[in-house]
Amino acid sequence: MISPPIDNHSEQSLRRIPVIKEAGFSVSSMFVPIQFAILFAVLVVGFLLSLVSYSSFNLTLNDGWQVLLNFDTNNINHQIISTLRLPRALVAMMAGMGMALAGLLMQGITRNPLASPSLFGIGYGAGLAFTLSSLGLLPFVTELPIVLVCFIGALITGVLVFFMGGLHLSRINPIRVVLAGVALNFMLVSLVRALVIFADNGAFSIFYWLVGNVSNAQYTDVDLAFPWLILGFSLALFISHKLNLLALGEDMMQSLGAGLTHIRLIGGFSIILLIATSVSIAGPISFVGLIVPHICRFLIGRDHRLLVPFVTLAGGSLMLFADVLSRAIDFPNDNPIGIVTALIGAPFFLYLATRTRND
Amino acid sequence: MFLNKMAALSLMLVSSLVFAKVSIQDEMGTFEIDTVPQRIVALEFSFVDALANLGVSPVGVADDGKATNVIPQIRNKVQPWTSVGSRYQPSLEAIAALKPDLIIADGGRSAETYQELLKIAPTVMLKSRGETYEENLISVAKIGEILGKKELINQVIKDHHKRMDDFAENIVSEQRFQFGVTNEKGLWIHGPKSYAGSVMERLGLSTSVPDERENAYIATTLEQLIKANPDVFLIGKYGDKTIIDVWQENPLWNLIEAVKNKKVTEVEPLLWSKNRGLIAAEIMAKELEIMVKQVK
Repeated sequence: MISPPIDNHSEQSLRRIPVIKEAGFSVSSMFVPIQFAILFAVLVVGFLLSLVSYSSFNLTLNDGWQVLLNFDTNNINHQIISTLRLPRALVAMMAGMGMALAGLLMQGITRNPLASPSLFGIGYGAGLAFTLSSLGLLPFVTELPIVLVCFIGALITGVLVFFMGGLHLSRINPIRVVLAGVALNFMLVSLVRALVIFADNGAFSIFYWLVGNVSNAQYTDVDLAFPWLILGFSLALFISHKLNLLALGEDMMQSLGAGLTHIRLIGGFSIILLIATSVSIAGPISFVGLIVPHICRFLIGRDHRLLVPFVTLAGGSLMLFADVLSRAIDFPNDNPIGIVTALIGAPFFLYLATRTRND
Repeated sequence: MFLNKMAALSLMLVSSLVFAKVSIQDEMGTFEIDTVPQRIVALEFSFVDALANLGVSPVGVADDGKATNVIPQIRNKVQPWTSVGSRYQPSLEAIAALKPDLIIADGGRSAETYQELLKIAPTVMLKSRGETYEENLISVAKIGEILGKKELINQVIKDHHKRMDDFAENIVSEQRFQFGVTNEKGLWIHGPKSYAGSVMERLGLSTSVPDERENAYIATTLEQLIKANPDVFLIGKYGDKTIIDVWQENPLWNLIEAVKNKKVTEVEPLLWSKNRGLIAAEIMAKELEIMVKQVK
């Protein structure tokens, strides 16, 4: 029998089979609640910092509390926190959650550590749809709600990656998946650039948005994204156990009686939903979807039932701190948040590449 | 043999007297030309403004596909031109087809295509995108010199300064003026280092971000706009829906001085942002003069 490609799990898998049969991946379960508590605290700290830090108006944490307890409509600091900073922090957090979770699902389903929204072009698929819509090149597209437009863009790219990458076959060739994803990504990037060149007026702002940006986030963005994020999260949780089985290899999974098509369809739908939602509110933010699942697996292990909520919290936290940094690096100027995630993400990616070899 | 050499030498001497060799400093170093160019291609709007002041019509302009991107006050002073495509990526083929004997290109935007442009015709690289009012005047003077009209251009600039001084006398205000462009995704205010900002400073006005000397165009959130707090706010809108529509719903919007004083004015972004030059500056000054009268 040919062993499944890039499977450094194969040895581990053999060891883990009995564990699954008994109590799932119950490794280090004692620390799990503590790890969740710490991560949640990090998220809260990030959220508060994002609300009040680096403002020209000397916002304080006390202002933040007062907004909750004793909101004064005439107080400029209260107004800034409640009408500008709060939607901004929420959008950053939600976009980070969506991208990170989509990355986890992509890595789980393709069993490829490089899978992520940006490397597989799905982020830019949604981005291309967004660009088409905001430049008004196709009038009927401009009429549609932006989430739907991004969803269609992500869906078309997702379906293309699915078939070009051979995900409809029972055994995945990981190199084929990566090649299909990267090729599509390049094609989409050049299409977006071409469009931007055609429409000079909007060019600067679209470049700005394509990096990933939450500076001008509004409550409408929050309302728009919330239900879809919940749906995407629920679907991810629903298939999390099956992702654990899939981690053992496609053959093993099928021999345990679980359907591959089922998990790929639900997972694929959830991935596209999460990416489309995140891109429509914050742009195609890079690297969050790639690095967060890796950090989380390192911290909490490989059980997807824990990873799904853990990655969600971690993705939100990372983006909140990135939002703070985006204002800190060149205060009082506000930089696109995507610059920060790329600055953090790229070195981490290199580290990951060297570390994987030593495993 | 000796006579031949002498003849060649004297011919060179004579020709150099007729076609005085012009040498100026451009963004790439020294630019030299020994004939007066007749067929000129301009790759930015500001160069068209300079040419119009010299009474020279360009044969081709990178006008982003539409001649109307150049304001009528400039367009009416020159003959119709052939579009050579977008300013970001002009069509080299279209430029070559016009058989130009001079290309005036933006030192920033066109740096990558410089070598290709040189193969078509002598190319001078001057500042345009992100230039200030003063930098534009320097470019204008250089274009005059290249076209062998040094005296004419000096006179044009002198006359221009005279008119700007007259405007400046009428434009006296303590109010802080701010121009910005907006679209659906955001607002970019133009600081003192931008063309619009430096024209305001030329006229003795100050902007709402006088200390921002590094970036010409500054991405601005509502929070930062409230901090900048301009007294008079000039908005250039790209598109029907802009982020300003959303901000107007926010109670914080009403805290801005310009909003309180009802001094938020919509202006033409083509004039205020894209068509930099003597003609554009004077029209901007005229508009500012009217606004200042209303503010008083």
